[in-house]
Amino acid sequence: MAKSKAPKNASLLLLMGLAGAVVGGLVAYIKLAPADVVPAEIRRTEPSRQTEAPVVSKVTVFTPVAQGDDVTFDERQVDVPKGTDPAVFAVNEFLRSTTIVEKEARLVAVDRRGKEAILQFNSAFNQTVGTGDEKVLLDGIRKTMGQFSEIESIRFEVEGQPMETLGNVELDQPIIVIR
Amino acid sequence: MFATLTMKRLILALVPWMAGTSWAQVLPQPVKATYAPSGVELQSCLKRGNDLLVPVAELGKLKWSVRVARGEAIVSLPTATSSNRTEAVNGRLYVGTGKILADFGAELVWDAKQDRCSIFARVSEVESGPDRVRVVSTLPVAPTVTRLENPARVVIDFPGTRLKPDLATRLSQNSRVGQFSDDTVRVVLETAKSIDLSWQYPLSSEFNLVWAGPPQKSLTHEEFEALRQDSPEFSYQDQSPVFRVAVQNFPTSGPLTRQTLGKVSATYAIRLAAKPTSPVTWSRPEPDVIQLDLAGTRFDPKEWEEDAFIERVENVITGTGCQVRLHLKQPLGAELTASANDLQLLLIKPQNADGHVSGKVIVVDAGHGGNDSGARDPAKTTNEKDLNLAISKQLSEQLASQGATVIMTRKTDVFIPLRERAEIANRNKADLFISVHINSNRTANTTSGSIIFYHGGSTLGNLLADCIRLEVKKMGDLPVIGTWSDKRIYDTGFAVLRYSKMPGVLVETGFINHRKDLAVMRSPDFQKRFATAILKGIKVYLGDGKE
Repeated sequence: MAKSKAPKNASLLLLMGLAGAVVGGLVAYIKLAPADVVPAEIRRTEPSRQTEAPVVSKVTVFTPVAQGDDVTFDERQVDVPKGTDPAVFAVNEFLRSTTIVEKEARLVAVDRRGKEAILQFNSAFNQTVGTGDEKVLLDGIRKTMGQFSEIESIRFEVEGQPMETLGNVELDQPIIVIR
Repeated sequence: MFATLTMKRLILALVPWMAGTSWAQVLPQPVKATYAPSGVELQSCLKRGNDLLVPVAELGKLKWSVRVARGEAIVSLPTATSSNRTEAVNGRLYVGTGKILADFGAELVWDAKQDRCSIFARVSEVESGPDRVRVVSTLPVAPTVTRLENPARVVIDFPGTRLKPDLATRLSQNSRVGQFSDDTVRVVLETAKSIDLSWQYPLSSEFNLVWAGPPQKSLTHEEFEALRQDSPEFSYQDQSPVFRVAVQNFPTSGPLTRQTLGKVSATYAIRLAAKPTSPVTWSRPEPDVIQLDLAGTRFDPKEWEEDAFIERVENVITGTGCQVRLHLKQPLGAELTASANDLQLLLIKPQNADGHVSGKVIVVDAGHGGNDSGARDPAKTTNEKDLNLAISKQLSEQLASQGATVIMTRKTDVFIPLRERAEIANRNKADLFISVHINSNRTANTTSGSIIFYHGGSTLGNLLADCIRLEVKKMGDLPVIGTWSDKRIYDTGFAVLRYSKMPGVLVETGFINHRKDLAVMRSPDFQKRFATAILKGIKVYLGDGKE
């Protein structure tokens, strides 16, 4: 009986060795092969990188207009100053037209992460308002950012920290732009 | 001797069983049975013990796949299969459904007299995304799909169902599921997208609604009419246009027909003489009056026999149509769905509306605070947070003096995050949530007055807001702009109303950058009287407003 066990164990070891070699080979292939030949479903993914601002010469600037209990927006085409991020320029033009926020309040930068844009405001923007003004600010910024086709949603940050609210609407989730 | 003793013991042991057993439990008795998901009556059913014996031939009515083999009835549904032995009673082949329903996870409910029973399905799985809803039930169900406005939402009712205790859910943020009434599970999806108009929803164990195409606004009356004319399969009598997709229960008689009457809700069908020439609107001119404005049609109320919800019906002929006023027994939440010549009205009683403020737990939330000043007047001499606190303190004192348990989210000038304010109410199982705020508008001295906000499509929130609005209006100090859903500001609504689990409102007292509003709101006398108006509105909502 003891004699017949030895060949069985040997074949088992051989099988395990073969399996190990196959797995090892697969790992080496994934690690060493150029990324473009590794199948997409097993390729290591990088975090989405910040994309650059699109180059445009004109943007639409929105100005709120009272319509009874509601608000509509006038639109005008404005040249973007050279070297300026068009989104930053358009949002700041909108803010200036509302008189809701402090004069010093402005958008400093837009971080584009794929289809999401993180709007970086300065500290003067960190001021809550009534619901009427909150709607004008939210809709105006959503419309302004909606003109950039690559952006689907926005987030609000003040000096690198997420904003809780402009009044009563929670801003912890991405806010969908208006097109 | 031993045998006699054993026999005596056996008889003694059987006595209690014999005493508690009636012939009804031994011999099958005729009973009425209904398949609640479709309302189908099953004929010639029998009751034995707690089991329902159904003629095998009747099971076909339920869209169940049934076959008989070797003395067993084998029932197959897409989700499960079960079987039970058949038996002949009075020459007909019967099967006991108790075991089969238990295997399927369904429910057999007997009424108090035990001479009628209903088969209920259970909703076992609900899944939703921005563009789809999937609902699985343990038995085939025919849902009704309704499009409601202000805010835009799709309501899917599953009649004859109850929630499974271990319900599996995977819901998107804009949807919710609940036991709407004793016999209906409701799924609500808040979306502005229009419904896919392939609107046949037959009995099925799995319901899928998928929106096709880009986001669209709800159909207008004209758009619907155009669509209707383009759809040859559309039947005006048994399908409903603009808002509802499927109609199950058209009124069979009378212009106003009660369809269901429960302890907390009732539904009514209203038949009109002709198609309205413009979409039907409804309003609440008084807390206990629902007014329907019907253009280009007539409604003849005849005699209305009052019930627990509607006391009387008033009809006013106008130049363009008519106004129907439903005088309610008490302030009630209302939802109206409309088609061109038929209306469905749902009335809901507020929870805990026992006519008393005393004993209620009410959370009063003074908006903003600490380093969050809220809105400021143009001269920057008055902060919203201070006015909010002054009115909230007044309101709290007055509520407490009426016997309510009042919890303030803040009593001093401190910052409380939005979610925490709602959590305070949830932790304390509050009956109501009242948030006090002051509004602002980009152009000074243009807009004046109060707005009472409720969350999304909350029926009871809307009622509470209306009750408070009507009391604020009576004050006459400031104009009243209206009762608004918070979705008018942004789709998710206000955080404090969204996260609090009880009916709640956010009161915007007036505009801080309107000189008249500001002067009024600074006055302690106004603050006290405004708080009294909110208190009165709460009392009306709770049915305590007549003193």
